[in-house]
Amino acid sequence: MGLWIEESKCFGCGSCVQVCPGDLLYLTAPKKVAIREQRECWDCMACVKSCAHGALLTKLPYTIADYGATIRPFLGEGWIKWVCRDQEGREEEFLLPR
Amino acid sequence: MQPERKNICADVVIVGGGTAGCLAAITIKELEPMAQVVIVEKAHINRSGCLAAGMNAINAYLNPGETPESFTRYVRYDAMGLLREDLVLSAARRLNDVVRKVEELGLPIQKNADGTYTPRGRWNIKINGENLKPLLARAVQERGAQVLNRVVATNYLLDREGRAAGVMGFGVRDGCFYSIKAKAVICATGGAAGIYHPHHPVDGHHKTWYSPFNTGAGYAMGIRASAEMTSFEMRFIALRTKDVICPTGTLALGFKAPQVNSLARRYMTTDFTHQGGEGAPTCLRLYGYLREIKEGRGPCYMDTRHLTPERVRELKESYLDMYPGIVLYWAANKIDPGKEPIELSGTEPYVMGGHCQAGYWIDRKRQTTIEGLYACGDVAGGYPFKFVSGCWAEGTIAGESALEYIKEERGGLGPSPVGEDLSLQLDREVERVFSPWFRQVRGESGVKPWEMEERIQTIMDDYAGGISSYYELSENRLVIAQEKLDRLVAQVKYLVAADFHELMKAHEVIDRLAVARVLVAHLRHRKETRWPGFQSRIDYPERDDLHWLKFVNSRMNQEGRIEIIERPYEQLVSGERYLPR
Repeated sequence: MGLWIEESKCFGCGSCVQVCPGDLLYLTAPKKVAIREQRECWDCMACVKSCAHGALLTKLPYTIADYGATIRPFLGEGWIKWVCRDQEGREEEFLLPR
Repeated sequence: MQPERKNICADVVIVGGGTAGCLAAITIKELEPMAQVVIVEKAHINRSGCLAAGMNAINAYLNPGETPESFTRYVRYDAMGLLREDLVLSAARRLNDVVRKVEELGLPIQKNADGTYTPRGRWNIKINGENLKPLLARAVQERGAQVLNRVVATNYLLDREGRAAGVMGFGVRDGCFYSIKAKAVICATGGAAGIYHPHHPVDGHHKTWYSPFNTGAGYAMGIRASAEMTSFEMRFIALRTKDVICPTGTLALGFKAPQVNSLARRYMTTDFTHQGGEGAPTCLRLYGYLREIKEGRGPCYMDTRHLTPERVRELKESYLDMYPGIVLYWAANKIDPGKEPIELSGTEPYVMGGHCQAGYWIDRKRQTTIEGLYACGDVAGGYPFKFVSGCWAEGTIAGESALEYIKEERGGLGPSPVGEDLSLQLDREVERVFSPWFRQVRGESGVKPWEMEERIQTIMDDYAGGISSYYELSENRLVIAQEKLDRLVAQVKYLVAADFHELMKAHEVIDRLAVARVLVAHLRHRKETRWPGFQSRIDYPERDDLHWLKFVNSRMNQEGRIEIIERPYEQLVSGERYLPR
């Protein structure tokens, strides 16, 4: 799997660097997150959930999935909301306890 | 150029802060709040181990009417009649208590109107476990266990009597060498992925079902310390949804989806009726799928076309708690599980003791064959069908046993766990651990960890029953695997690592090589087919109880040779062993 990094949303807080189970993320000199190797990502989404600014998104390998869909988690106290969006912009929302 | 050394003393050191390790730590700190407990964690405890993404069910729970004995009978049937019944029984007695315990820590468990847990199958209940790992991590920290995040364990310290005396390792972030001396050690590292070519060899290299960061460190440390290992040959090969490798239990148990071939025939129901049909033992559900593919009736699917739009939404909710990637995959590829079935695939083989039973040979108290060294969770052998709650139960047993051992054999809790000088072991380990980095610093060329990783995976795939040969095994190919792996041992000294992340990767590949060698020795020794699909010997295609109803164990001797030891099976729970339970 892999990761989309939206640099404009990254403030270099390092919460994703702290949590990635594969030690795959690091901060570059201008304090932006970067991934060592896309193919080493497990898609556990620990980093995506840890990012308060929505700068990270899980990316499926192109060998298995069409371009353009996204899934984004929003975390609250006792709940998680997921918003899944397809290429045409159709959204599905899910609210679950956690 | 010598790394800084950090020395820590504790009563108990736990290797791995995952599912089992967290419960071991919580247990010890609740029984003895003054005990010094250190967890050595390769990643960060908040999202480390198998539960990083969460979990949507507890799959080893005694629903009303079930008993530890009925559970053991079922697990025995699922494990094709061979397992350590003493280990299964002792953990089964704790399953429901430990689930309640984790519920108290904050895990949301779905309930019926009368307050009982909502079953998902005979041994399963539904949870909303997205936050399960952070909950466990918080409980560990609230109870005062010390967590060393980003420290990779590399070997055990042993005292002159051969007892466990601590753990050594290095910091991925700080580059320091760590030694944690302790009176008892609990190994809870998990099992090993990445031994075989992955299902996705290119840009999905780590799109594995089992955590690709579980690289067999606990096994390798035990192998190097000459601990006895069991049942590596019972590999786990998961039947999963194609491409995103998502668990199928959710579809089969939660949403009643049968396996079908491309002709829409329910081959498990029709061909495996006497062995349980759709609920046949786990290895046969893989075997049935493989047979359809080999004989030209693939692809195979989980048939979800009976699901209403509301049920499809529930299915997505269920996966979001554990495997959100599949919801994204369906959106990206415009797949509606209510309209088309979900294609299946087998994963690459794993070595693990939580679904199958590869691991340390332990006694009922979870002590390994090394005094003072305990094992629990996926790294502990002999007890399959553990899953999350079984690992928790086993963690509590290991924690209690380690504490009892310290009190009875090691003079109780308190300072100076090891009196003798262990500096020779420490010096040797610094040299061994840092040598790939020293080599690079000296400007020498060599082998990158990823190169050796792919070499091992290629050997295993080609000669030791990988995905490319339907996982099938034969003596002549296994002999070649063994020779090629043995030759690689002499290549380890050429590994180079540019930084401490690469140094971690170097040790992951060294550990995988140790695991692969033991695995091949076990696969060669068992000359029957006990677990079709997981361990199909095409040269010995039948089960042979007369000669092989026993455990294949091994121990690496001082010269680095793997010696095989056979151990008897003991039936403790009465009843038929192979028919559906």
